[in-house]
Amino acid sequence: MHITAETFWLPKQGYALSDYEDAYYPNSVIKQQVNIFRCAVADGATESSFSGQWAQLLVKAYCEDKLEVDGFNYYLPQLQRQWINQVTTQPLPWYAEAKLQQGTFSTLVGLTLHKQPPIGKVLAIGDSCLFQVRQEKLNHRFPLTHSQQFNNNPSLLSSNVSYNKHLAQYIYQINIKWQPGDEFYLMTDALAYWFLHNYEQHSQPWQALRQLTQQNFKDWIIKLIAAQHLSNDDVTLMRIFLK
Amino acid sequence: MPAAISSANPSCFVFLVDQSASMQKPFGGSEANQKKSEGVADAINRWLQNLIIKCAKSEGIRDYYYVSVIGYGAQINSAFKGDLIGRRLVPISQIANHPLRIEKRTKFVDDDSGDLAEQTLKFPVWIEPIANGQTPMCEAIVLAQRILSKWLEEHPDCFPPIVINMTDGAATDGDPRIFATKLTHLASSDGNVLLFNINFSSHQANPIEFPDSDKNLVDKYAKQLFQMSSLLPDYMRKIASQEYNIPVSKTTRGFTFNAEMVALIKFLDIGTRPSNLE
Repeated sequence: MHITAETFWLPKQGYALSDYEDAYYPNSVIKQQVNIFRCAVADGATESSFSGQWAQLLVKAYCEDKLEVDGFNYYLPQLQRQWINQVTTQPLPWYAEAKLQQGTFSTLVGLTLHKQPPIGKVLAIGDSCLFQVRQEKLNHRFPLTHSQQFNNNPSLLSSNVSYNKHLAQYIYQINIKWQPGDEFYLMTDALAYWFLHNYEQHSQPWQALRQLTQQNFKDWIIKLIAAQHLSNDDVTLMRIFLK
Repeated sequence: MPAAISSANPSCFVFLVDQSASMQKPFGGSEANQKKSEGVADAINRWLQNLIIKCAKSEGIRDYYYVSVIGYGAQINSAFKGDLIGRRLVPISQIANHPLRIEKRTKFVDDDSGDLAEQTLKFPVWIEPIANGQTPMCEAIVLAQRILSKWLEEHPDCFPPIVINMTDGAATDGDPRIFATKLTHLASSDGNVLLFNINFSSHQANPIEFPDSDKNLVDKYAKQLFQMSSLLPDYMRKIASQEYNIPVSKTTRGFTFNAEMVALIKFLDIGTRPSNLE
């Protein structure tokens, strides 16, 4: 199984790179033969603090095979402790303490592919999405399937255990098959909305994604936002070609 | 697409706080023999605390809002003291970093076993209870209008500013509805200024939140405040009903009787709100 994987990302327009709160893993371009491939994208919630660090812990943990549906109860408390340790290294002002008590929140979409047999699975919490394209057809859209399903109020993975009580109700997993030539696109909500909306208008949004380079990505996003086709949000796209 | 609130395109809150002598009377919505002036001070401090926490991010506070707190009673002026004394419009980050003091308060919360456990919370204080003089509510509304006219000249495309008036209702300088109408005629390109009223009454009556008629309001001041309150805009009605199951209709107004209305902060939309954070 030959993988070519590359990630494109940008913070909200008008914000600094350090304000970017999405996360992705692996964090370098992949071009290699592998027996197993794991990757993930996550989107830290705007209304919580230190959500970018939480999102980073989640994508890395997924790629280390620690966040399968069965492993959540074991590994999640470890990640929650790790996050608290990371964000409380210095004394915090009163409002940061109050915000930390709420915990932080993130989406997660992760993809695992096996060479033999050529199968895989996708895990998702929240509104970050995966799309599988085969021979110019959209084979899978997951976990959201229509642009109308997006809102500002998704159920997310929390660093605060008391907000994950009903996790089982909003963690989704599907099994998939792959074949050489397949393409996978993992993305956070703003771009996923654009993707599904365009698909519903009978266009093939993956064609634009296929053409993206690190050089033209920023201009492309800025134009979409200016034309009000994309909301001004952190954007992350992971593009995977299989041979 | 509605105007997004961001630190690059901030919005504005103006709080009008009744500090007249009548606020010395007991507050009907409190079980602890609290005066209305204390109830109002607690409410405004809780409002500020919650707004700040909403704007808190990893790097500090994002200035999504500029905030004015105008006290009206013997004087009409900024109610801020200490480092912020006299300031009429302050970025939320500066308010966060300059409370008068931080008190420790206790509250009882459900623990995991279902018992009540005592929890100590930090309670920052910016505004002290004051009860002195007449109730020049009309003049206070005119001052809010002046502050917001200038704000809107500088931020013509902002998310519409919100004015929250906390009072026991009895204006002594005229009919506030006339001035409220003028205030709510101000607008950004995204919509009109909203005026919400919080009525702190001495009546021992059950709290009423976001009513859509004045039929259950007992006194004429409450009715007057209800009538001058803006209708909840679509985006607030949507969040209130879909995310918090609060019954609202197209005639629901931003008015509460003996209730702090702090829930309204949840209706403010500055980005993804996890549905599992209740």
